[in-house]
Amino acid sequence: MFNLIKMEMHRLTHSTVTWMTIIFAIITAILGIAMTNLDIQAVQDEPPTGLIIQENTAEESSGITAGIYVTGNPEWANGKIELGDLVGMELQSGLTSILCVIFAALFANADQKNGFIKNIAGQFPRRGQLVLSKFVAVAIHIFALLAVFSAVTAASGYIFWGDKVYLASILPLMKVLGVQYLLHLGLSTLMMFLTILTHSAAFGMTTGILVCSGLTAFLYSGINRIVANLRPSWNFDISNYMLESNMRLIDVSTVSDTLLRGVMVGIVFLIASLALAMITVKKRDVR
Amino acid sequence: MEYLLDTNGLTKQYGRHKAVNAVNIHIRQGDIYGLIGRNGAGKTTILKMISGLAAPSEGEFSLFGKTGKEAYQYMSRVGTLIEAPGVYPNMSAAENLKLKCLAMGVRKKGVAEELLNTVGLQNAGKKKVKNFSLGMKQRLGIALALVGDPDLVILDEPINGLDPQGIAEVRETLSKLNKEKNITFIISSHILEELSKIATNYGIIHDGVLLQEMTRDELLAKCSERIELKTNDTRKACTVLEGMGIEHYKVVDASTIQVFERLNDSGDITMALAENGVKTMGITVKNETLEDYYLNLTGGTENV
Repeated sequence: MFNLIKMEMHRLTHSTVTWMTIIFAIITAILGIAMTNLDIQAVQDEPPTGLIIQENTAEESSGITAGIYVTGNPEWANGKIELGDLVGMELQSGLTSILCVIFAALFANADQKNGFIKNIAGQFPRRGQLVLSKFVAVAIHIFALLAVFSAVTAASGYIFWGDKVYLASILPLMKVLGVQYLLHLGLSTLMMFLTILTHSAAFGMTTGILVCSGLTAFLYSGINRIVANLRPSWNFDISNYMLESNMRLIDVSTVSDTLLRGVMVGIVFLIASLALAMITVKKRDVR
Repeated sequence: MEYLLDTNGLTKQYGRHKAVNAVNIHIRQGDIYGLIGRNGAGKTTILKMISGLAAPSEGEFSLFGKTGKEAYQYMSRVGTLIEAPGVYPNMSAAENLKLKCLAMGVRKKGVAEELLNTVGLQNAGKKKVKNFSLGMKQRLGIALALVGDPDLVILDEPINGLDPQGIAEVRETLSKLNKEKNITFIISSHILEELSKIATNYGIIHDGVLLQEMTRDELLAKCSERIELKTNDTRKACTVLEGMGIEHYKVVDASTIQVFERLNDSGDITMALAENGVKTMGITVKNETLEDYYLNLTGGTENV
């Protein structure tokens, strides 16, 4: 198992997709801050009631919001910018989660696509190890990606706004990063499973991008309505138990219950997806 | 342990179709076992099952004298090249080998360079595999199969895509490894003449069924040039042949004798038999190629 992890780590550091996603994380972080800066300037010039930078957003009359968007705090226009608040809001955008699912799908599918798995799968009777070692590499990469994204966001914030940026307390920021990491890892593991199941990185990536874009909101709305019709007294919202919707809820001001729910959702998805991927690889012949 | 690998009723079924049907193959340590069959005969499926890449629907195999789950513990001593070589196209040959070395826990330095030398890729340098010719990829696939000094190497169509010189080089490499390191090889191919130059044992498979297993000598005897003699008295005919100084002959059945020497003396043989009162029912000089033999056995020329 340790040997397989070493192999996957070597592959991780030598894969183009690893470095491409890190570079895109850096670019995304800088662009996110640049866009927020434009918005802050716009508010300073002509104060609106709120601050929101929105891209590709579709808002339905039913209250369903889908799309990728970066929100900001209206107080930033004339006040100070708390670093935890800034990083948390940038992570809520879902841009990093898109990079994570692209990476997970491409990385998990590479050895199946080029057939390298045939060189090693026979030598490992407990084939679930092949998935577990990949998961370790994915987990390390996502940690690195979120760390780079957060660091570049913070650095860009200091470059754009200088002394306006301050760190109130490290603990809330660490909590946000920890929960977001688990949610990102859960989502990436789910996409890794779907990619392994379908033998298709395209399927995993497309599904992941659609999920991160919030298009599942329409599906969740439908499920909620069905549940409401069946059990009107039950105040059920499926999005509370999904990865991407929890990602959008987590910031430094999030209450402990929501943070805990985010942790649980991340862990449950992570363990379930990992177990299913391991069973799939174990039970199926290597193509 | 009589056999390094033997299968017992190995079967693979996809839906109602049996791709491999109750195959029993027997491979001894040091053999170069040639698995001959048309495209779609079931060669790759057999190799996948004994490589641990596919689970048999029925039957089992014994590896190093162990069966069932115990046999799978010995899979680290088996190297495989199944179908096209599985390689990372954006990495060099050495990097691909390093990946497998890491997975197999091979820590010895210079292993990749040694293996590249073995398969004739010492000049590949940092060239990415995506820029390799098919032959180079095939050689790299063989090198990958050799990582970890396996005792058994399974090669599925290893000479596909190689030019005549490349085929000869791979043949020499495999022979050398077989002799020097006593590595047992299972090689599948539909290029019968090439396989006949290297294999010591053969298994002929057709429509998922193993038709015949034989040694190289047995196959050569069946395919070599010979006089096929049909007489009414085989016992007396043998005495006559020995009287003529012919020793290299074989009685095939009650009326047939195969003579493997003095192939130009069929007239003299007929005369001698007649003089001794043995009636010659028929005498022909036969020269069956390996391919003819295979076609006769499998019953056709389609897809060969």
